[in-house]
Amino acid sequence: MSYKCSRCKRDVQLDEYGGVRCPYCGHRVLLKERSRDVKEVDAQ
Amino acid sequence: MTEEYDVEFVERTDREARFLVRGVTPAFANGIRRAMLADVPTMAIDTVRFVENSSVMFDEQLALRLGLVPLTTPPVGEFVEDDTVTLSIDVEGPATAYSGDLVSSDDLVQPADDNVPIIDLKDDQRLEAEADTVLERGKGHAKHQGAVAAGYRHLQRVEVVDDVPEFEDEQSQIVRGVIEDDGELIPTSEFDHDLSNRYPGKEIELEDVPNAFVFHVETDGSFPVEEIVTRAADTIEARATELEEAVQL
Amino acid sequence: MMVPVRCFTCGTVVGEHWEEFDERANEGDEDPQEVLDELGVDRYCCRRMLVSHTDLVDVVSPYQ
Repeated sequence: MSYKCSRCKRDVQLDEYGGVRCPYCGHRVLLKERSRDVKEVDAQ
Repeated sequence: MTEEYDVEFVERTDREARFLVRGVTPAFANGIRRAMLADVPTMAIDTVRFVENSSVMFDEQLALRLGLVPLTTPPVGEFVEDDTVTLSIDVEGPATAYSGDLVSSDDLVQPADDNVPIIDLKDDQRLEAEADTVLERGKGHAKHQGAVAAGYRHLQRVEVVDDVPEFEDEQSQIVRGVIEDDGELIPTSEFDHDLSNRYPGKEIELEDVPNAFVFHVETDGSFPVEEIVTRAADTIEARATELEEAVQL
Repeated sequence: MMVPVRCFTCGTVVGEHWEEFDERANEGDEDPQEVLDELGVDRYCCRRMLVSHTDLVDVVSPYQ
């Protein structure tokens, strides 16, 4: 899973053991990146 | 239908018109109004595929905005319901994405208004999307409603009854729509909707002219006013024929 | 956020008039009533769409 640290803006890879924390700066707020897939939406 | 209706335009521009129809029942007048709103198929964006959207609004919000942009609707027979046309948009910030940035795959289906802002894009923001349009009726979603603010009023006949008594104050008499004076049609906006401006010092009586209706129709740009009225009449005919066939079984 | 594309009540396209209205009545010092009349936004349902609108894109964009 690819996340982005909200403080140092670096890409972060999370695994199931590390817990939610940026390995570079220790910040605990991570943002999930938008998927590269094309997203189809109904205009309703 | 064998009956002939007498139609006379009072005001007429590309997107807005006022016309008088004589010889129709109130029920038929209302039928026309409802058909214009709900039963004339109009092109509009239905599904949007977002390749990239880094703007401040969600995909769903942008899809709704794109859906509401009026598109020109092709002539009858060119498309049937469920045919699709693809439009694409690709704008990179800093810029504003406008409805005019939509590039259509078909010349017959184009945005009717080019400068509707879709989304304001800041530095490094980008919107890239593809949209499919469908031909649908106003019944299903308001974005397919070709006529906006369609309505009608009775034509009103003005009769000068008497002079206002000498020592009585003149009172304003407000009326909206179109009046008929000696066969002449006058929109009330010409005298600021106040009959006392047009007939100073006179006592006036107003009455509805039976079976004469003044329609006021505006379109969102999908097609000209005449087109939407005739298409509305066609849908009524189509439904009547369908009913006739169903009953004759 | 962004101007509504159409009037909520009657469905007239009002979004196309926003930029001119904003420039003349909000940024400039013209009378909003006169600007709306000139733009051909006649009904009060459509007029309130422009009069009461606030652009929030600039406000939220730093929090992306």
